[in-house]
Amino acid sequence: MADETAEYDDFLTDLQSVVAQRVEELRARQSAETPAAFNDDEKVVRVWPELSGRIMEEFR
Amino acid sequence: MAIRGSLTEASLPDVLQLLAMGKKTGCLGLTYANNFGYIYFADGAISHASIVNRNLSTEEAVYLLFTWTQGTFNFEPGATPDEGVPMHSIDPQSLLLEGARRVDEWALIAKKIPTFDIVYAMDRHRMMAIERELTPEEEKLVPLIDGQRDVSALIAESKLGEFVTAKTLYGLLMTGYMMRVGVSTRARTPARTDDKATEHRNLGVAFYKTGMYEESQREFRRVDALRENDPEASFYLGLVALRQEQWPAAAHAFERYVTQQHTSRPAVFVNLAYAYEQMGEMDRARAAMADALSHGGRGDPLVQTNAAAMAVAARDYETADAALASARTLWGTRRPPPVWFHYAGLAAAMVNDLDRAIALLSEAVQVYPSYAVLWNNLAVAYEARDDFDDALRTLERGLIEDSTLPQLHRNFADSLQRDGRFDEAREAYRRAHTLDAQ
Repeated sequence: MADETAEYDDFLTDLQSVVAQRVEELRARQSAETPAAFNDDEKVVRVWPELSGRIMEEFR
Repeated sequence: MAIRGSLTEASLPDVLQLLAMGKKTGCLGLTYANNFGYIYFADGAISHASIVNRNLSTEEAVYLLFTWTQGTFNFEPGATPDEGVPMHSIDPQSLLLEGARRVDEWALIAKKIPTFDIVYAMDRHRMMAIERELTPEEEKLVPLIDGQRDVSALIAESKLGEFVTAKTLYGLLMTGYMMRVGVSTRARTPARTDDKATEHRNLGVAFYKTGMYEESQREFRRVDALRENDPEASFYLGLVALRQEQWPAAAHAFERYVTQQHTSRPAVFVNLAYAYEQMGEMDRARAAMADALSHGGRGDPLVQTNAAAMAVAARDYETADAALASARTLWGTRRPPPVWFHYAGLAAAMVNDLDRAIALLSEAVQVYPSYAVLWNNLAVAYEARDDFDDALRTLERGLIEDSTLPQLHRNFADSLQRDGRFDEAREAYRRAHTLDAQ
């Protein structure tokens, strides 16, 4: 059980490090296999429409 | 859509009945002079009510709000109370009769007790002369009426609530057991700057939460004037500017927080990143999001979800996937919000993992059926997998939930055309075009 917890913590830490590092150097890594419909802005909604989902309103 | 109005044109009982009948969920904010109160609804029942800077129970707050016959109201759909506040489920109808009775009684009481800073003393001789048994409320209050405490102190110390305390004092005044001896020193001394700032701060937060952004901005500007470099004022002024889509003003407020405060808060950087993103300043947006992660945001699933949203906008789906996986892990057994499902479904679809996209978005529409965006993208994922029947069914369901999204109509039109239903398809394209133009 302790091993599992440690493994989980390690996984999460690795994941968070990857995100932290990559956010600073975001670049298009678009898959060549993207279905055509998902490249069509007339069909797909790309941006979440509610502001409350994109900002943090709690002072923390 | 928010509902606004004047209390002189629609009384609070009318508004309450309307919200109850419509089984509404959200927050009704009320203003009267410099006072602000709010009533939260869940499916038409009152779940919580309060008046800013007053310590009242939900029922007491609603009864007092009934006395506000002037001022404005604003209903913000979907708003829910903060975690930890006492929650109820009260049928508004059950409060109307008692509310109306109290309004009449308050009018009488206010003639004798116009403010809560009046100090009373007992007339012991008169009490001895007229022998009568005290009521339980009088028993509680009489020992506290000492020529020192004002009405506010009597309310606080007796714990009888504003109405019962005032009504009992009114009775004691009318029988001549009690007399006015002055007003409290508190009333004669100007409020301390810090107390005034706290009152404006509380009003500002309440206005913000009920969607009254201009009023919130006014209150936080007052806080800012009273307390130099107040961190919360900068934060809320930034939030108000975001809500008003004034991106440079929002960025300026959050930047001001960052330069003035030593305590870093990831929320400030996330919001700053969003303001920069809207201004098209992507390098600064990325740097602000990196700051959010390095200032305590790594372990916050909302920060990770916002980082993912930014990665999706940059078409960096690998990074988005990592941030979304991190967010979901951080939420543990708690259900992620709809925005997480949106970006998770989108990121999966963009790397052609349609099965995963469909699984995520199917879960999303089960738990958040009112979001047309989720139905729309699920239908597109079905269509991309050549699963046309499921796509059509999903679009029909999405249109029942919300018919204001043009993409839903356009995808519906594509499905109908594919089915050979050309007249219906033409009509659906027309609706998509009309919504696009709005």
